[in-house]
Order: sequence, then C-alpha cells, then structure tokens
Amino acid sequence: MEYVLTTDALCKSYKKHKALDNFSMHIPKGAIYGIVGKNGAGKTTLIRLICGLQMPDSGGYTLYGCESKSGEIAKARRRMGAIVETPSVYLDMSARDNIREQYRVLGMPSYDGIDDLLRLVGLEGTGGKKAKHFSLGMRQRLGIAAALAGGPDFIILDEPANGLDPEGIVEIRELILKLNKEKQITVLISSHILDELSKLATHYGFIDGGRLIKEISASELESLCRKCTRVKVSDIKSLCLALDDMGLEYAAVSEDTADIYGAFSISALVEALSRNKCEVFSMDGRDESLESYYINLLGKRGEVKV
Amino acid sequence: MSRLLSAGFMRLWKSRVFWTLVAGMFLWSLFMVYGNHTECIAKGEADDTLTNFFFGYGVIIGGAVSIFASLFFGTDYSDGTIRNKIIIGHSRKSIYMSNFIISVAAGVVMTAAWILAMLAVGVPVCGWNGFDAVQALVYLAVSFFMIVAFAAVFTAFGMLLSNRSVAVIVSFLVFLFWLQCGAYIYSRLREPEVEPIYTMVTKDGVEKITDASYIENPTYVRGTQREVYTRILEFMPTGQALFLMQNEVTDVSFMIFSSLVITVAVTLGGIVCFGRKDLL
Repeated sequence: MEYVLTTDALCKSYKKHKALDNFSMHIPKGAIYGIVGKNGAGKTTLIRLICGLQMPDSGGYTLYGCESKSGEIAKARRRMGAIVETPSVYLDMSARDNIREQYRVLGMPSYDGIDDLLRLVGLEGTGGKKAKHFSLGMRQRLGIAAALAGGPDFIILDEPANGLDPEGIVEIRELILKLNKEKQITVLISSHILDELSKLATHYGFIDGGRLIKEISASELESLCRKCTRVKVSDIKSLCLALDDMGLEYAAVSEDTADIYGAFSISALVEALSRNKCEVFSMDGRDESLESYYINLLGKRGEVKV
Repeated sequence: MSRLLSAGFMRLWKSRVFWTLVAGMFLWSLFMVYGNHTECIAKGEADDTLTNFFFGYGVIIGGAVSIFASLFFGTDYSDGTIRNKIIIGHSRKSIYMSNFIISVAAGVVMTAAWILAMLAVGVPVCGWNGFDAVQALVYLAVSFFMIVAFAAVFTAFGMLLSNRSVAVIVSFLVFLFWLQCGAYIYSRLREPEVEPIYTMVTKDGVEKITDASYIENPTYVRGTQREVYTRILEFMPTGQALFLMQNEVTDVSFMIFSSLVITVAVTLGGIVCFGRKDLL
C-alpha cells in the first residue's frame, strides 16, 4: 500500500507531560484518515509535529517518502495544506486578499485559480467583506481554501467541525468528501465528534495518552461493529455451552454477560438455559457504532492499566 | 525567501498600522518645524529648526519600529497565519529574515516621511542652514544603520513573543528603558567641567554680584570613565539617536560598526531561538 504519511515512534513532551509517546501511524494515499481521541489525547500535538510547527523529541515521520529530518521535507510540505485548531487567515483582509496573500507565499505564478477556489468553498460572493466579519463556518471554509491554494495532495484538518452549527458541519463534511472524491486529496482529520467522523473516514487511528492504540480501516471497523444481542445470565458457562450447541457466534464480555452475533431463536435459547437451571436476567439488541467501539477500546485499555 | 518578501511587502502596503505610523512621523516632523519656527520668530532669533530637528527622528524611530514590528508580526501569531508559511515548507530562517527585512524597510519609509516633511515644508519655511551635503549623507548613513539595529532588536521581540499585546508592551518598554539609559549617560557627559560661583557683596550700601569664579564640577565625568560612557552611548542605537539629534556625531565608523554588531548578534540569536520555538 502506498502511504502519504507514516510516523515512526514520535515522542513529544511538554515539561513533564508526555503529549506523544512512541506514536506510529500510517495514512494510505486517497484515504480520509480520522484520528480519534479525547481532549488532551495528543491529536493536535501530532498535527503540529507533522506540520513542522514543533519538533519531536525523538522519532520521526515520512511525508511522501521524505524523512522529516532530511532537507527534502520542505519540498514534500509544498504538497500539503493544513488547518491547525483555528483557520489561519488574516482577519482584516477579504477572502480574496487572503487567498492572494497565500498565493504569494506559495510563489504561484498568477492569481488564476482564486475564483475557482472561492467557488469551491462557497465564498465567491463575499466581495470586500473582511474575514473578521465572517461567521465561524465561513472562516473555516476560507481556512480550507487557503490550505488548498497550492493544489495540495494532502490536507490536514484539526477539529474542522469545532464550534460550527449543524448547517456548517454539513457544509464542511460535503466539502471534505468532494475534495477527496473529485480531487483525490488525502485527508487527515482529527475530531472527537465521532458520529460526524464516521460519515467521512475511510480509516481510523485511535489515540489515547499520546499513543496510537488501534489503527483500523472503516470496512474492518464495520465488520467489527456488527449487530449483536447482549445477554446477561446467572451462569456464563451454561450460556456458552448452549450457544456452542446452537452453533452461534458469540463473545463473552464479562463473568455473566455475552454478546451473541446473528439471528437466533430466543425461545430455544431460553429453553436450553432453563434445562441447565441458568436464569436469563436481561437481553437487549445492540448496534455497535464507532462511538461504542471507541468507548470499548478505551475501556479495555483502562482495564489493562488497572 | 523572495516569495515571503513579496507576500510581506504586499501586506505591508495594505497595513493600517504601518501607514498610521508613517503619517504620524510626517505630522510630528511638521509639528516640530512649525513649533520651532514660530518660537524663533517670536524670540527674534535665527531660525535653527533644520539644524536642531532634521535628524530628530532618531529618538522616535526606535519606538515606531518597536510598535510596528510587534503589531505586524504579532498579527501573524494572533491570526495564525505564520503557520501557513511553515506548513508549506518555508524555513524558519527565511521567515525570520524576510520579516527583519520588512522591518528595516518599514523603518526607512517612516524615516523618509519625517525627512520628506522637513524638506518639503521645513526647508522652504526655515531655510537650509546647518549641514553641508557630505555631512548630511554621513549622518544619513549612521541613522540608516541605527534603524537596521532597531529593526533587528524589535523584529526579535516580535518574532519570539507570540502574544501580540505582550510583544507591544515589552518592545515599547524596552525602547523607553533603552532611551532613558541613553539620556542619562548623555546628560552625565553634558555636565560642565567647571561651575561658576557668584558671590553677593554689599558696597556703599548696594548689593552686587561679583564676577564669577570657577570651581571644578564634582559630577563631571572624566578620564577613562568619560571614554567608556562615550563608547557606550555610541554603541547603543538610542545613544546614537541622541548624538544625531544634537549633531554631535564624531566617531562615524564606530557607530556604524556598533549597529552592525547589534544587528548580526541579535539576528543570529533570534534565528536560533525562533528555530527552536514551539509554535501553536
């Protein structure tokens, strides 16, 4: 698989706090890679390191095949754009002037693409209105336009839905999907709005305490997040025997609970359990989502820590 | 770096802070011309406005550059746009150097506004009566390198202090402190070597002041201390500004050398610190 970005054991500390701890990830070309983690997990630190805003204490990364410590990294960076935390735009300039400024910073030979870019992000009609008078969603879209000014193959968006109203969130989502599908731009997106991320991402990286605890594709996640029935009983051994006899796929969750995958006859199961004098306390259908997967993942990790 | 300079100068051209400071320098210069000219006329003295104030910008330009650099570069931090430059692969050294060059250019234009007002209004009104052309060019050269040194120092503050408000306050306070130090040393050097003493005598019932007799002034700075004070003053840009304003520039090469030393040292230090700085 061809990777746009890989990180290798990245470490970064702020005084005694370890923000990133041996962080290794792989972003395939053409992916929308969602980096998922709670506040303070290390998402923004990771993005700052990749963008060159901060230096790692140890470890490194490879962007388009260029090592972070090599002189070639500056050239590789020309192929990326990013929004880190807040949109980086001059508030006392109009949308057009902001993009012009970014064109100059990039050394673009002409201003030809500015209209297309503003149209792409839906800011073509803002005229001379200064960015400080824009709504947060408009600023976010202007930030994306600035990030796209150099025609990058890879963009990094740090919490792009933060502070946006529902309409703004939908607009940003559609824009990201459009960029990925129509322009084949690889996207790294960090978010803790899991429901929103699940509508976009083709790959996920779960981060906690500065470490990547799981990297998984959306299709793998989908297969893991199957519908199941959670059953709580008085004797888990009897339940396992009964399920084995019935040829059902299941997973024991705890000493008295198991998740049963696929459809089955409830009355047949209850009858089999009652024969072994096993009581059924509860039974409920579960549809595991990204959110529950994430919570389970962190929960398990918490158990391991304890 | 040419791309950064192109973007920086275009931003400078549209900068309200920059044009406000340019206008401020122009108007201040006009005010000095008008004020001194009317005073000279009222006192019936020869008009010395240009002699006294042509290079008066020295004590103001440092403050103007400190405000400009901290606000202009602080906006890059407050609006987050400094990130755009780094993300797309510009080196920190290029970013720093391009900002330093923009600071110098801004300082030169602000100075030009002062000089323009002096030439356009001062010369026709007050007449040209102080400098020969060579001396004027030498003074301009000294003041140019002084502006470069100011720009180096305040670019460092603007680039290393991420908080714009803090950068403005710190930069301006540093300038005021520096100016105050210069003014103190300059005043010590201006102490008279001897002081006159007058005695009141009564002769034939009439009180009279005798002719002055002179005693050594105990606060007069002499010897090695005087040389050291002079060198310190010539070394500091604020000290150079005072010498320029008083038309007392003597050691031109030392002053220019001092400005270059300050510029190179501060810029190298600034580049190293900015290179290591964690940006948000």
